[in-house]
Amino acid sequence: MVLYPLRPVGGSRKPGEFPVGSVHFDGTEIKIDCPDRDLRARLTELFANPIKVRAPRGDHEQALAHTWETLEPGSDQHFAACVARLHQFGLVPGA
Amino acid sequence: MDPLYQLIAQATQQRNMNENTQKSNDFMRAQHKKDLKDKGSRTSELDSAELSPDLNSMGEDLMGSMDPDMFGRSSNAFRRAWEEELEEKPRPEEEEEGEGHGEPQDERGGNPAEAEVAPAEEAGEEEEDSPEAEVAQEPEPEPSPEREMELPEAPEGPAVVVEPDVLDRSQAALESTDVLDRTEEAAPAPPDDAPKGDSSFNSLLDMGSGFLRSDVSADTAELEVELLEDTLPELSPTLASLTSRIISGDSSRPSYRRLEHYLARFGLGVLRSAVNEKVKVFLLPPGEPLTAHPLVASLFAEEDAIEGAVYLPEKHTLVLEETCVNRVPRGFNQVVFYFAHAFDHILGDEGYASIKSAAVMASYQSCQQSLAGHRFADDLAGISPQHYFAQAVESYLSEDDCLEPLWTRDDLYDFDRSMYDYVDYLFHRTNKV
Repeated sequence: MVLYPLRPVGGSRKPGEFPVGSVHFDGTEIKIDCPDRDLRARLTELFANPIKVRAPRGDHEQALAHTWETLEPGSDQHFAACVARLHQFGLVPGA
Repeated sequence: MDPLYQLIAQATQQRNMNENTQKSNDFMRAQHKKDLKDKGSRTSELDSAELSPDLNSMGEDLMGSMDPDMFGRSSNAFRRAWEEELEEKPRPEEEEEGEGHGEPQDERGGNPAEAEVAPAEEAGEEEEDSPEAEVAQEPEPEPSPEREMELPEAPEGPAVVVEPDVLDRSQAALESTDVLDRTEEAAPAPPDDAPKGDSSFNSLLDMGSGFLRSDVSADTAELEVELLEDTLPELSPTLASLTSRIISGDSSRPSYRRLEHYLARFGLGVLRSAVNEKVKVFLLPPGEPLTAHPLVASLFAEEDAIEGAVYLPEKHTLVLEETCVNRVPRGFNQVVFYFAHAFDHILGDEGYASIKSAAVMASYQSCQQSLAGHRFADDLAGISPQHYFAQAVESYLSEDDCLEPLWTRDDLYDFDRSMYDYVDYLFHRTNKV
């Protein structure tokens, strides 16, 4: 998965033209390829640590609630949750 | 006169002239070095008052030793100083030989014929003292702390594989169960000898606020809320009367006032609709869990570990723990998110409006298909159109008051523009703005 930087364009942000790196998960390990050392360290910290996600509780008829669940590294759900938060680093996943 | 004697006399005169020229060049070079040193010391303690008021002209500090004839004559002050400097310099060749040179002699010696006659030793010295060598001999500028940190390290390979020991370390860190709290508590104090520079300058690609914020501790977060309580503006009487009819709780507590401001973000029209539909918001006393409310206790057990807030559609009731009001929201604003469920329920008459709205369903399905310009904030937002709508409203009404926000208003605008436009239209229509 190639990572592109988010560039301010007008009043919004658009993916930049040149990628800043890539992240791959083959089911067992995460490979981070990023020349920028600081960004690579932050990505490694994100992808190598557990992450908290919201999990729904209840149903639409009786009650709507949530709880926080911790996802451990090494699972597809953890990788997807980390990818969903890449925008917090100013990155967006490409093709 | 003997021609041989004349030739010897000419050679002797030429040698003397070369020596004088060399002395003059050495003197000018030494003076140039001294000037550069003085300018270096001045640039370190530059005062803005010393800057030239004429912004159109290049300042002397910027010009350095550049010839104004080569770089335009915009800096009159520099030109005068340069000319005065040349006039003050002694000219040995003029004084001794009486040969007048109207133009100042070039530092390099200029005359190729003289260079040919000059002895080999002098030519060698000339090469050593050439301007290129002079630049190389100048002391290098003191590297910045960031540069010092980068220089000793060897270049690393582009690929970084998360090694098993990294995963082990992360699993060990999992024992603390709370990632966010762990990162905050585990932030080590910087050593005394650590470079104290601008911490924000970590990378040229650092454009985001970052995911892990180790600089904000829980104590700081709570303190932040207490400070905000003092700065909260007074609500308008209309809004205050509407919120007082919606909220059930101890109005003397600061969290009650905070809750009023959270609900006030929805606007008068939405709150009027909530009052008409008899929507209630129960603010639990401090320390009581959600299951302390009888309706919640009848639906959830302690093991369900629901946190913060719960919306009960049958009763049009929102139950809130005080902790989700009097603390800085983490990830998302639970009050706004669950009141958005109530808003969705109000609009839908019987059932939720989000599953009846073509605009919401179209955006929701676009996000499900991962079409360009459509994204879910997280997995919970993609569970159902109701959650999707509530998350969109929460993002739309967010005011950058969350720690590590999952999805901000800017994110909604940038990554799901059609939903942003719909929510924007909905609030404008409901509140008749």
